Amino acid sequence: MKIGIFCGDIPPPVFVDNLIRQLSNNHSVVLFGKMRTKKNPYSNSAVTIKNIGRTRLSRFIKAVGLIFKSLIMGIPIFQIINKLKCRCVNIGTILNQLSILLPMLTRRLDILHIQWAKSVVLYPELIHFKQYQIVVSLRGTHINISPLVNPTLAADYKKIFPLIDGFHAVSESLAKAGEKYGAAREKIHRIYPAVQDRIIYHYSKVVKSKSNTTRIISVGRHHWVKGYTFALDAMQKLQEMDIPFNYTIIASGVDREHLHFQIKDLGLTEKVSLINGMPHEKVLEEIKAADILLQPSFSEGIANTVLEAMAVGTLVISADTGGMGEVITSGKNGFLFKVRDVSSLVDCITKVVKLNPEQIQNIIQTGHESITSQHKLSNQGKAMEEFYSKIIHGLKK
Amino acid sequence: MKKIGMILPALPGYSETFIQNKIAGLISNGNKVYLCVNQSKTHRFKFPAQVKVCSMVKVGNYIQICLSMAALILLKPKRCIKFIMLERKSDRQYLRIIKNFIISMHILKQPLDYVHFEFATMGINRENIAQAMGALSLVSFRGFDIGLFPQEHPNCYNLLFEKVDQIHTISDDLYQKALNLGLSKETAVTKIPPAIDTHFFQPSSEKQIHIPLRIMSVGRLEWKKGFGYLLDALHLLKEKGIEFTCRIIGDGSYYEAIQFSIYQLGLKKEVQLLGQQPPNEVKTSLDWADVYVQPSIQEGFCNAVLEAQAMGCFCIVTDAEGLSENVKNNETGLVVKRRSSKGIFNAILEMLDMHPEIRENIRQNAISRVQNNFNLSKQKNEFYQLYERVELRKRSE
Repeated sequence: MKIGIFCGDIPPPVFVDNLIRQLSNNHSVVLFGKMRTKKNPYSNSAVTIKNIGRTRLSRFIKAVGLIFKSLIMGIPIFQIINKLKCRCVNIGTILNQLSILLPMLTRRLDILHIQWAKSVVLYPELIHFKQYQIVVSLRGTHINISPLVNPTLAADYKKIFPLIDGFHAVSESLAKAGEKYGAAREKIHRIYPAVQDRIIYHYSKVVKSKSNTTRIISVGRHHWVKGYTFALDAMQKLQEMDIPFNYTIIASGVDREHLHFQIKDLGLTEKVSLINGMPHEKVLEEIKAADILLQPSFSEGIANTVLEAMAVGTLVISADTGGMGEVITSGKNGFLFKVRDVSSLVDCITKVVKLNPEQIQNIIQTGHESITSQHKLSNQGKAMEEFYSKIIHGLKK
Repeated sequence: MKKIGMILPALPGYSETFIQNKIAGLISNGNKVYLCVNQSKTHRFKFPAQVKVCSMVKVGNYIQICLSMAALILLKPKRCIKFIMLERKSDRQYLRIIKNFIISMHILKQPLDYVHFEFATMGINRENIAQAMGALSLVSFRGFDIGLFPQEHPNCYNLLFEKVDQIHTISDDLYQKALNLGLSKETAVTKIPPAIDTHFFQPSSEKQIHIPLRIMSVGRLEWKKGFGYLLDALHLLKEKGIEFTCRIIGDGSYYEAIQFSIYQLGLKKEVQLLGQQPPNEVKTSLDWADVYVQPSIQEGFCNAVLEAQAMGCFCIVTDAEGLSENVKNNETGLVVKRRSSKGIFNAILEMLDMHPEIRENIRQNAISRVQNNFNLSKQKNEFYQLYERVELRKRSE
């Protein structure tokens, strides 16, 4: 199969990167997006990168070239431009849009997988003038938050989703949410996110030495939805209860001012550290060294960090939001607390602190088994291939 | 006629009524005001003839920078030399001196008697301007500049505190914080709290407690304003079966977070986000409201709370920085712990359970306290005296 992946930025986030690496073992993958680094992150020749250009000038030059290519290939370029005229204010914006659309429209593919649902609203011509089957991933914020706070986006989803050939939902809850915006149930395939097999095999049954200080860690990006402020409020309660702990937040992004302020305001400077991003391998080591991986999000699809923590053998405490309840059965392979409820989180942490090493090991072991059985990347790759074949087969039929 | 330079990041925005009020007061005292701003894109006000807007050169516009620099050196050579000598005395490197000169040129060329940094942050890298011009320097402490900025920029005010002639603080709390940051106790300080137009903000009707209870809050939708805690408190009210309607006036980058919280907490029917509103509309809503809640985490003083008190709303505020000086606990409203939705919830219950006479007393106390202590004419006189005092003191030295 020739699979196109449209993901916005290159290198893509870990879960998309995992998928690309898995698919490229058996198929040729064309990755569309804006290169944020100079170095090609993929050494595999099966992966081709189509960079949409970093500067305006380079995008314009590419767009002009691609217009000629479209004419030769018989793509209805004039109709596309006419459509673009309706929503673009000037020729510059039209050329910019073309520089994003035409690399995908002029490429011969079997299927195009759009990773972010909002892209179909930003570039509806991809759907209206599609040259192959198109599938869209239903992921966290794009489905759980954005259309709720932006009614125009919700209306656009409702118009465009019925035209899409297939949907990949990362959890059952997201599949249900997608249905609200016109994604037909029979077109939605639930395929859970996965963890690289090597990370799973990295797990060893080493019982962590129970130190007096509970080491808690959270990993994610800097965004309000990740609920770090809420987690810090809970840490203050732990401090008031004299529970010895330290808490590390590893998050990348610029929106950190409020966290620094809160840490100081709550008198947590000795116990909380904020790390601005880290390479993935190092993050895994940090997770492995911690006693608890805390996922305090207000909303999540299925958090990859949680899966990775369970894979490497760290106990997980997560907010019961989105698809997290599909991964964690509270008390068996991790713990869930009521979303936005500080006392529920504090209760959960104190409960974990009181567990004996054997109980902890049982939960960790069960967690690890959950990942091995449901979230192995090699299995996800196969499920995704089947999903694509089904969609392509549907076309041929 | 005094020539007062107000050094601001930008022309006053819609929520910065304290600056607009101050300008009006200074003009009515017969002064000439120079608004020296870093950017001038929000030029939506028509200023009277006594106000001159001076914009900083655009960083990156090298032609404009060179021309302005040449003109300033030709017209005010002594000032320029003195500025550079003072910068050298402050152990600054040449590149830093050139940068500081560029960001100070729009101020240096004005014939000012006073250089007033309206936020302490505005004085960073401009510490030597006043001395170079032979003017007097004043610094205002208004909130984030003392409460927040130095946390990520330690020692940023060392030179400014050394060079300043007079400090103006809007609250005792901010002054205390500045002392902790290294301000000398010997530096002259005057507290002038913000003021509002008490003729405009007057209760037009008898206040009563409605069913559903009418709750209101005003502020930019930013993390500092703590609206998440208010929404959690409202959720608790709803769970308790208390009927209410809440209006939130303001706009900002946390719109999505707040809108999502409203949805997640099931408060869609009860909470209305009204966006940015003109003063007339704010007044209408304050007239409508029974209780006003200010859930801020970080707050210099908060004019909106003064307006709410003047309009006769029962005020519940957090103890963030100057807010506990704005509202006297149990005398003119209720002050609760910041970052505590339960605190806000309990305060609303306390207000509802109060004997109507006590509630009325608190309301009346608040109205008269604001009318007597936070009116524009009082502020106008205080600023007049402030500039007089600093000049007299300097002369006597």
